[in-house]
Amino acid sequence: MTPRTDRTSWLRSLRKRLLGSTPRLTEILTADGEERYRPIDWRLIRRLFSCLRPYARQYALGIVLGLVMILLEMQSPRFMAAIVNWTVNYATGQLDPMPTEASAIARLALLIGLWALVLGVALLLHRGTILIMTDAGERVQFDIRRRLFAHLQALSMSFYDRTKLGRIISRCTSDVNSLREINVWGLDIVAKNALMMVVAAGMLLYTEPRLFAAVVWLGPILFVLNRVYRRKAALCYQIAREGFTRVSANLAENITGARVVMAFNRQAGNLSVFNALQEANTINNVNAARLNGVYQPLLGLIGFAGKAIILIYGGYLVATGRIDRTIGVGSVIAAFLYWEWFMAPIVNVGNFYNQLMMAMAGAERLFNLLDTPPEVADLPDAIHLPPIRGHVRFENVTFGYAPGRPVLFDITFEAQPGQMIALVGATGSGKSSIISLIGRFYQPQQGRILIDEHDIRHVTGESLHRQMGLVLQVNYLFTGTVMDNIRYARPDATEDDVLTAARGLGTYDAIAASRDGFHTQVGERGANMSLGQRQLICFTRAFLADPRIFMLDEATSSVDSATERIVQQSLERLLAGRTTFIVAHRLSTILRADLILVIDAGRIVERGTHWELLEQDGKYAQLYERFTTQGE
Amino acid sequence: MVLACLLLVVWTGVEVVTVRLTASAVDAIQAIHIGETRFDETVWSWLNGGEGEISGLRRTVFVLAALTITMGVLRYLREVANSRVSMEMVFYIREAVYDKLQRAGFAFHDAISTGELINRSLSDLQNVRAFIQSAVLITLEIVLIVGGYMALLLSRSPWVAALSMVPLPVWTWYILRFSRKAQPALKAAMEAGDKNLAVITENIAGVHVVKAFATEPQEIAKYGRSCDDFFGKVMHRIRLFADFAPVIRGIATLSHLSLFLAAGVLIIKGRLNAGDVLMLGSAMGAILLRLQQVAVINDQYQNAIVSARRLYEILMAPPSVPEKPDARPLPPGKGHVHIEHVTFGYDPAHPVLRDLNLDVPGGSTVAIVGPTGAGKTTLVSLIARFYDPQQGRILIDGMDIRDAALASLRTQVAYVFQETFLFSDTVAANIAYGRPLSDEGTIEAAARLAQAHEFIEALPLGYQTMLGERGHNLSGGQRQRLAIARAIHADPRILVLDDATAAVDPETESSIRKAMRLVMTDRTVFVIAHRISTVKRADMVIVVENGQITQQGTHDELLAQEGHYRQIVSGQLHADALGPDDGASHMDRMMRLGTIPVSAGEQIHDPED
Repeated sequence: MTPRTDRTSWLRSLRKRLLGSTPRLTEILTADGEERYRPIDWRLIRRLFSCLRPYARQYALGIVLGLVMILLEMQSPRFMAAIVNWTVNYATGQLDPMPTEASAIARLALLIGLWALVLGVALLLHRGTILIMTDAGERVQFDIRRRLFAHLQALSMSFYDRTKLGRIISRCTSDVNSLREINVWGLDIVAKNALMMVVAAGMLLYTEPRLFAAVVWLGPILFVLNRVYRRKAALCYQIAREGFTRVSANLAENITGARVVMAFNRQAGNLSVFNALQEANTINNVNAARLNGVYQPLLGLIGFAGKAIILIYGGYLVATGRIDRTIGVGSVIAAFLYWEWFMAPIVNVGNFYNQLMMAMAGAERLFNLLDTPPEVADLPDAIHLPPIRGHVRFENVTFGYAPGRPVLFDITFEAQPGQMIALVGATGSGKSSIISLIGRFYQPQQGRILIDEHDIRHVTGESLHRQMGLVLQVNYLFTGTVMDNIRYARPDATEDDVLTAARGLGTYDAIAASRDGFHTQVGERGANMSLGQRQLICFTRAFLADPRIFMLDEATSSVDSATERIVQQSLERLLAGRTTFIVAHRLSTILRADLILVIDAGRIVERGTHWELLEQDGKYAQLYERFTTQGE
Repeated sequence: MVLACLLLVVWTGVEVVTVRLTASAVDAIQAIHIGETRFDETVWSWLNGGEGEISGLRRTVFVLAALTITMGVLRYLREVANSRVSMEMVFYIREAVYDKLQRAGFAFHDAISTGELINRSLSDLQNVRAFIQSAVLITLEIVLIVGGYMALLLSRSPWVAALSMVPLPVWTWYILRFSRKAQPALKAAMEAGDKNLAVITENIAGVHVVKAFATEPQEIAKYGRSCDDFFGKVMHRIRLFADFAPVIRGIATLSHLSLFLAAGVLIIKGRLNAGDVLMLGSAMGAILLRLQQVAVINDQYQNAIVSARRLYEILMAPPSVPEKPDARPLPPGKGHVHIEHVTFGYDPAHPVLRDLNLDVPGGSTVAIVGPTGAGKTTLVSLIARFYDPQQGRILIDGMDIRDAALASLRTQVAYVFQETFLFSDTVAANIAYGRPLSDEGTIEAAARLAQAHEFIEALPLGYQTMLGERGHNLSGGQRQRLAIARAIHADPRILVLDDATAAVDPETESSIRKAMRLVMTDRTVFVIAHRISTVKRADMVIVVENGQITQQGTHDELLAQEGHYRQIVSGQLHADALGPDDGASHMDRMMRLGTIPVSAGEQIHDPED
């Protein structure tokens, strides 16, 4: 038992209490399971620089102005020293020759006037820097946003299948935002603070080399302290944020599910879970405050050590006459102030370091997204698809969303122009995948798809999609009026075109019946429209686009019978004369088809008309049997 | 709180004294006379020996060191006390809001959108918290520091102190004026940001439409316009700030310089010392720094006021279904539901249900049909007292539900809502939501009845798979089956299925229906359905139209009557004539009926009929 080990273990436990034993910083993840911090990575920084390059001149100008501003502001201690020396020496009668009081004051006023001039210029430069740097930085931010959006448009459906909406949104928001401070002020902060430290040290050296030598050794100590603290603090605050995210998530979920909470009577239990999360959150925050409470005084202590050394040693130098009496006091004051200038960048750079690490994590994810190649892209020699008749042929198509796990095997079929093809089969058998392949949302791994004898791989996506229409189960509407939504595929269509189309399709009355008719505002995701109305709007949209090939994933959910009748009528008109593929859920639709493809586990197991298939007495007959005897 | 304030007062005092002492240290240097010290003396002997001014400097530095350390300790205590106080206050507010939200009743949640509520209870609470945490204490700090330094300056020179006061009102006026001007600009920028995000969100949510119509260039142009607008708003705000910041600094600089001028003159006249200049510099620096914070605090204060008001609205909202003080648990019974002259509207001026009467014997199954918006969902939501009717009353096993304890009532009534909500928890926890402490066997049994067992077993971790944002995604039909399992597992006396199988494919639906028969035997069940196949098995069918029951009876009875029921049934049941052996004539009929809505799932051919 030695007191020494006792003390170290006590220290360790204290340290543990104060700082907490915690994982490495880069192991910290966001609520979405993504890392929030990343060590500084020169590859990423170089790439970020390439985003700034278009504005290099603007940045250079801003930085030069900023540096000049700092240099001007850093003249203040010298002015103060000069003022102190002049006035004190006058007061103690050490000037030779002694000026009159009036001329002493005039000289003082001159000094202050000069000082004011210097600071005034610095102020103007400050304004200029803000404008120039933020303008450049925000332009970079918006360039990145635009690039990101354009890239998102180019990416294929498979990307959207893999990636949750929330993730994409956080790429576009928090990740882009994490770059802002770096893009706007990054260069400026680095340049300014480096200059500040160098100039402050230089001025200290210039003012009085002996005072400089007396305090310079504090620099490395400061550096180490700062580094240790930054790492711990980043972690601590991160943990606190994490905890808060959990509190928020719990709260948000309980609000969203409030009806279920009440219906199942879970209030008391939920509250205790919530309070446990809150408890942890409180502890995390107090821990962060503790850490800060240790660091700040330590920083203050080092700052004080420097000041004390300057005062004592400076006093000694003045007293022993080692510095000239006439500039002595002023020099000590100037050295004292330059020491403060020297300390300031340490705090500034610390904050910057944190932001830089966050920006690194954001940049990494952004660049990864920008580097994701679109899986279905136009080939370099893609041709413009001429107006088609609507002949579609699948030749031995095998396809899987993940390579190696096909969902369609060796699909071969042919649709003549104007035919209606019904795809029938259980959920997950591959019906929707066939439709997605015709729309070239995915690339088949084997085989090919021909439209009017053009392999769709060799035509441009734009010319292909312009001749196709698609209505899915989920009737997606954009914010805007009903009119805007119908015009979506043909923005050049006039209001009359829209109304004519609606009348032609027979949806006019049903749409006109809503509150503001065709000018009704559609809420977010079409919230304030009934299911049936939304479907009719989507039909009208497809009808106005007048595609040669039309694809429909029939809705399973039931709407009231009056609307259902209109839906069926307009559907019939919509299909007339087009090659149509329908994932069918209604017998009435199936019965109308020219060709029924029965899909089972990714294979076409039967094909023919309703009647032919019934006679085959196979899978389709079974399905039909089950449909019709469904009641039991 | 008191402790935190006390610490702050002491800390401020120490800081002011520190500055004062630093100044006297400089004065001591200034006052040191040549010749008092021998040239060859070392620093240490100089510090140790010597009298008068040198000992004054020495003493000052020692006291300063002691004060710095005291300040450090105080700073630590202050940080901890501050954070603890504010965290605790927030804890209680948040707890109150949370509890209020989950007890407020359906009407409350109907009136305020989910997004807004989340916003209120998160960001509004953050605003209030930011205010409590910083603003209250910082305001105090500002007052103390400014007051302390003023007193310090006053003790040295009243003139200088008076001069240092001059920028205060100008400053305050300018900051207030700026915040008035900046706030609309800030708000505009935030709104432009929201719109910009909305373009992205919409684009991604509707990506299949974008791809299908090949409107990518159009979308990029739309986003570009939004970016231009956003950029303009951001730059407008920055330009305002670029005007503001230099002016603020300008005022500071101006007062700084005029003070130095005054101090210089006073030194020349022999009324001040060099140390005073340093003190003046430090004091002004500290005061001006605090004044800059006024701008931030002003902002926080405005936010906190608005936010506190919004929180207060939540906390003070009267519960929409108050529990009586003498509420008793629901007596045991078979689940007899008696609805008597009930009139109810979400807005009392527009009743949804009008003078509605219904008697449902315990253990029977009631199917409710009727057009959209007729009041079917409203009717069933009154049973567990999610709302109180404006007139009439509802009795369960003879007890007016307004006399029953809410907890006992709601554990006896389980719902499968139209919109399925699952929690981000494991599958098992979601099924056991109504009875959290139950064994795996009962959970699995419930899942089997709801035809959910098979797909759950196929999930990566089976019943322990996490659901929700960070977990596994389920299809609509799967989610609905979990909701059914959840309701079954709650083992209620009364079961309410509100269009519970809309997203389930017809085959699964029929197996669920078969399995449910077992569950339904001892319970009173309310089923809202569109599909006649679901309805016809019920003991009683009621047709709700326009807030009233227009028809009531068994399937066969209603079929015999003229009315809404026969219309829907005929719409769906024409296919009854459809038999596999019906030959070509059947085909013709089908073509004739082609436009009649015949969902594959609604095809009913019941040989018994």
